Parts: sequence; C-alpha cells; structure tokens
Amino acid sequence: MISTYYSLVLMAVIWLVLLWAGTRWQGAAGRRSVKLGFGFAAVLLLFLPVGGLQLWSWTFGFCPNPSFPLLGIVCAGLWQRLFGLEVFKPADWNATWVFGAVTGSALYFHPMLVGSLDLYYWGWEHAVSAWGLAALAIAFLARGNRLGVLLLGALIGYSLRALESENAWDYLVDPVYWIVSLAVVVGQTVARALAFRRAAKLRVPAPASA
Amino acid sequence: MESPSEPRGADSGCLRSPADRRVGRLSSRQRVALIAVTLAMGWFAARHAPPALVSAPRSSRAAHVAPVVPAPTVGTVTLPEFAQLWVSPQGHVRSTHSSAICVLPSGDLLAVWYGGTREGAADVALFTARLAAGTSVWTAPSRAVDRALAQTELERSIKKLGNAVVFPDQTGALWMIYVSVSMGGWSGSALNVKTSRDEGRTWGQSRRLTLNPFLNLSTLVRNKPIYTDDGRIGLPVYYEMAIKFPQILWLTPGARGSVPEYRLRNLSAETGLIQPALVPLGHDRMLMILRDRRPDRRLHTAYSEDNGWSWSAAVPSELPNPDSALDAVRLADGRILLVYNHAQHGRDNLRLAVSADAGRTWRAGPVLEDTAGREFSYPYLVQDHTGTLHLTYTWQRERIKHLRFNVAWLDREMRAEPPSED
Repeated sequence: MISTYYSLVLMAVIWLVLLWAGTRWQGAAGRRSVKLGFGFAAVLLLFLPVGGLQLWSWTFGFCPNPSFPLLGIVCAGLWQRLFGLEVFKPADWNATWVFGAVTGSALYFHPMLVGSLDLYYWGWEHAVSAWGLAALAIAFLARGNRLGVLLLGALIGYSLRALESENAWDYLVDPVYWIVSLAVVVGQTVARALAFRRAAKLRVPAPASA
Repeated sequence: MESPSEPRGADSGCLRSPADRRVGRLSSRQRVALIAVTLAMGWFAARHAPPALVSAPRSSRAAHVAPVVPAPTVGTVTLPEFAQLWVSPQGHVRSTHSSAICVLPSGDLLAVWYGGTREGAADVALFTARLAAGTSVWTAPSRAVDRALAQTELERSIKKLGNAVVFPDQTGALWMIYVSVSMGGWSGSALNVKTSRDEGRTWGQSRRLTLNPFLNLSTLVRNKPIYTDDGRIGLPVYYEMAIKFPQILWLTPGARGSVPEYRLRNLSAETGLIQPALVPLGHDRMLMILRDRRPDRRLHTAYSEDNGWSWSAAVPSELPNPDSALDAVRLADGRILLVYNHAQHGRDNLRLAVSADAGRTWRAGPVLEDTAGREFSYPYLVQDHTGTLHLTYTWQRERIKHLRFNVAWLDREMRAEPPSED
C-alpha cells in the first residue's frame, strides 16, 4: 500500500513536471494526445532502472513520506494543466505556502532553538494527533479555505496509516513541501518589498527647481 | 450561475456571500459538509488509535530472559572461571566490527556483527553466529542481511549497513534492529527491524522505522535494551546529524514479531553524548552511561527515577573515554560492571571497572587487552541464566572475540588489582 501510494504521488509529480516543461519549451502541451503521452511517459519513467533499482525506489529511499498537502498541491497543479480548471484559488495557494513554511520551520528547527522540547514526539500520540489534525482542518474549512480539504486528506491518510511513518507530522509536512513553501513565501515577500519600493519611488515628488 | 469572469468549473456559488465569491472561498454548504466529514474522521481515527503509552513504565529490568541460577560451587566458594573464545573465524572477512550478543530463551547465545572489506563498504553484511549452551565453539558465521537483501526488503536504495543489536522479547520472538544508510555517512542512518520466531535461524522481512522528521535521517543503535512489566522494550539509540544526543526507542511488541507501536523520546538536552548504555538499578531507578564525543573525553552518567522515562542531566565521571562505545551490567549483588577503553585517546586497551555505589564512583579492574596501536573496541556485555558473564568486542578490526567469565573470577582479579589513582 505504501509503495502504491508513493508510486502514484511520484507519477503525478513527474507528469506535472513534463506538462509544465512541455508548455514552457514546446507550447505543444495543449493538445490532449500530448498530455496523455506525458502521463504515459511518467509511468514509464517510474520503472526506469537506474543502478539496479527502479527510479521510484531511488526517490522512495530519499523521501519516503510525502505529505498529503504536497500530494494536494501536485494534484491541483496537474488538474489545472490537464483540464484548465483552477482547483485552488489564490487565497488557497497563499494559505498552503504559508502553512508549509511555518509548520516545516517549526518542526525542523525547533530542536536547535528550544532545547528539550520535542514536537515530533507528540505526533505519536495518536488520539491527540487525530483531533489535532481535525481541528486544523476545521479551522481552514470554517474560513472556506481549500487547504482545509488537504488537511482533511492528511487526517484520512493518517487514519489509514497510508505512509510508512506512523507519526502524524509526516502526514502534514515533508522536507520537499517545506522547502518549496519557504522558497515561494520568501520569493513573494521579496517581490512585494521590491514592488513597494518601486511604488514609493514613484510617489516621491520631483524636487522643485530653484 | 457562473459569472463570466470566473474560470470554468469554479463553484456554482449557492449559499455563497459576495465576499466569498470574490476570493473564491468554499460555499457554506461545502464548508458544513466537509467539517462534518472531518469530525467523523477525527472520531474514527481517535477511536481506532492504539492505546497511548504516554506514561513512565511501572518497573523495568535488564535484557535477561530468566532468573539467574547459582553457579557450581565447592562448599561455599564459587570457582573462578575464565575462557577466551572467537566468535568470528580468522579471515572470514577483511574487517569486522560492532558485535552484539543476546541470551536466547533456549540458553544459547546469538551474536551479530558487521563485516566486509572495510567499515562502510558496499560489501559489508550482517553476520550471526550461535554458541549452544554448555559448548565452547561458535558456529560458522551466517550472513543474515546484506545490502542486496536490505534493498529488496526495504524497497529502496541502500548504500551500506552498520551497527546491529539482537534481543528476545517477552513473547519469545527474537528481534534484530540494524542501521542502514541510503545517502551520506553514518549521520544519514536509519533503523530497521527484523524478527525471528526460531531464535535467529530464519528472519522475517525488514521493516523501516520512521523516527525523525527530516527524511528520517540519523538514528543509530548500539546498546542492549531494557524490558518493562507492561511489555514495552526500551532500546537506547542516538542521533548523530549536526547535534548528537541520546534517545530511547520505546517498542511495543505485537503478535508474531510485529511492531504495532513505537515512539522515540529524547533523553537529554545536552549534546555530544551518544551510545547510551542503560543499567536498571531496581526500585524504578536506572543508570545511563554515555560515550563522550566532546573534547573533555570523560564517560558521563545520568539517572532516571521512573524506569528510563525522564532523566537527570548527565555529569562527567572519573573515567576517561576516547570517544568509544562502552557497556555495563548490574550484578546480582548490586554492583555495576563496566567494560570500556581506559584512555582519552585511542582504543588500544580494554578494561573492566566496578562500581559499588550505582555508578557514582568506579574502581578500575583487570585490563583485558592492551597493545599499542591496535584496536579493541565496541564491547557488549550480557549475563546468562547461570550468572556467567559474556563479553564480545572488536579485536583489532579483524575478528570478534568472546570472553566468558564469572563473578568469582572478577572478584579475584579485582582483589589483585592495585587501587586506581584516577
């Protein structure tokens, strides 16, 4: 089950990357046959033998617990590229990136900052984790944000123990999702700051001539 | 009806406020339905969660499988016994290291170690050998796990294999926990578990344990576990990436060697101390002795008053430690027997020490090995059903040596030893 789930996630990622690359370089990814061809290529790539192991097995060794928000992001992106349907709205994307950046930073950096506090340990408290995930999902759903749907997915995955990990944190965030989220949030912040600076420059009145 | 400006497939907008429609939020109906599903899933997940083992164990004991029976005596005097055996034969591989042994329910001993052309090489495999109770010759090494088997069983790339420990659980199943690395050096390690129902003659599939949030990297094992009365196994492990600290892996054995529940607790906020050896002292107390990777190079000790759940700060002991593994057991009379490298640099001697005050002070005992420029390291010490002590260690990286002795031999050697000046 774990391998199947992992293969599906990786296939979706490869498919999305091929669609993105196809649009960017060839402009041919708009044709349905090309899109399906990329999907077929993604499946083949999964089983590409590299050094005696299939490609999916290599990546599984390095990142064995892809989180459910990561899966949701990939599927939303894939859906948009395949069918032109915008599943996630800007507010949903913003919430997803900020959530990934904050949650990942807290989980991965806290041992260096707060000594003996061990957030990851609480992910093994199953009842607490289940209600914690539910509360997070409800908080976003109540605001109408689609990140809540991804968190509901994480809760369902956790209930079924769909990942190799039995720790609830691994259903919520993973290093890939965290790094991408951090990059997006930092990039957006820098872009916003530059835009603000540019606008401020434009607002400065020209000095009056003597 | 969709507004022309909304993308195709956007929500139809029933029960949606104008503000929600502007930012594309979920409709009220969708929110209510999804929240209901979330609550149902939360209830389902919490109801089907395994029982939480969040409290300290009520009591603990060392990893022995049966009560110690008295050794043969002449009148009231126990005869000193000491024997030197070889676990691994000469030249079976070029380099061997990191042995561990356990007493099986049958009374036999089982040893595990890794060997290959050199530490960390791709051809390194985990070997096991058996010493039948009452005999003095170990069986030929048997390859238990190699890189190819680990890759197949774990369904991922494995670069190298490392430390392993073996121990029986309280149901009779035998466990092997071993280190594998998929990327990088030893700090890229992860732990895997295999179990056997026939005392290590055959093994089940390997299973990866997820113990760390960042790509599950950097948990290693070296020392023997403790058992608790509620069935849990407390296995001392340690973290090695960037910051190094001791941890304890609490395992709950299930039916037929399964692992339905496990969790990892950090033991100390201090860094630079690894490879904890746990010694139950009785009455819920436990001693932890630690290898020192810091410049002061002293063995460190810490205490628990709740069977290993929480720990005092580690303090340096009077004994040196050259950044090398150690092991210890509690003898029937309450003394602690320690085996370690008595130096701040180099692993060219191996020595015993005894503490009569639960590890606060130590009296250095007999020197077991001492040859300049050679390596005698990674000791592993257990006591069998008869009270006999078994010590295995890396002998010059070439072989695994086994010393078998009893408390009478230890007492005689301690009497002969001059008082230490440390």
